[in-house]
Amino acid sequence: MSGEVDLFTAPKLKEGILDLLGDDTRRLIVDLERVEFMDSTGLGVLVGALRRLKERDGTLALVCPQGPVLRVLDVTGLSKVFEIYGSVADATA
Amino acid sequence: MSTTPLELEIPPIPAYVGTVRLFVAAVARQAGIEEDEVDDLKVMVSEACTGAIRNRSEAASEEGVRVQMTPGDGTLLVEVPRAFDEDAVSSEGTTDNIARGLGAELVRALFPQAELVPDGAGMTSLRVVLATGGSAGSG
Repeated sequence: MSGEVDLFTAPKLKEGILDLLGDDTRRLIVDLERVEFMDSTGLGVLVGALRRLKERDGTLALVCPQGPVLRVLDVTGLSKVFEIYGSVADATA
Repeated sequence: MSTTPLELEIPPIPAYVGTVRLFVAAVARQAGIEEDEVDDLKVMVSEACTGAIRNRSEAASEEGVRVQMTPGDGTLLVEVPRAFDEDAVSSEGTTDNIARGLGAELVRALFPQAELVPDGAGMTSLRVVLATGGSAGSG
């Protein structure tokens, strides 16, 4: 995904993630490398997805190199809640 | 150095939050705010506008959302009147609506000096003073 995630665009992210969260999905990797901005509405979507996956013993990984999005994850403490990787290759290794 | 206050008012519609970020970033850069802090400022104002838009939506109100930026002598004052519901500010970010509580928490985490001032009518106004290093508006 790319661009900015805020009150206007977060519903689209939520829809996309729900589409991927089929009954059998146990692991989801969300690539945020090209996301330039994310606020709490985007974080709320990611936390909601993590909650759904944990209910089925699944995991959610974020690909999120240094930048404004990682900064927001860090200051909220959510970087300790999600698995965070610097690249898709690392997340899928 | 210009100390003329600048203000942007948007309709309470989510599509305009990105416009506010562009406005805030442009004024902050002109005032001499460092780029990392500009990024934080964009998040803070986005959170405040999100809170305000949610409030207007729940109240079925068309009241606009205002962002005011006032350059001073080595400072930049950023204000968003009637931004968050008092309930959202007092929550610990663990309410059913995760994003709502998280918004005010994020503002506090990014800018510990941020003031969330109750307006006596169930809303709080956001007020933050930033240091500009004395180069505000000199370009």
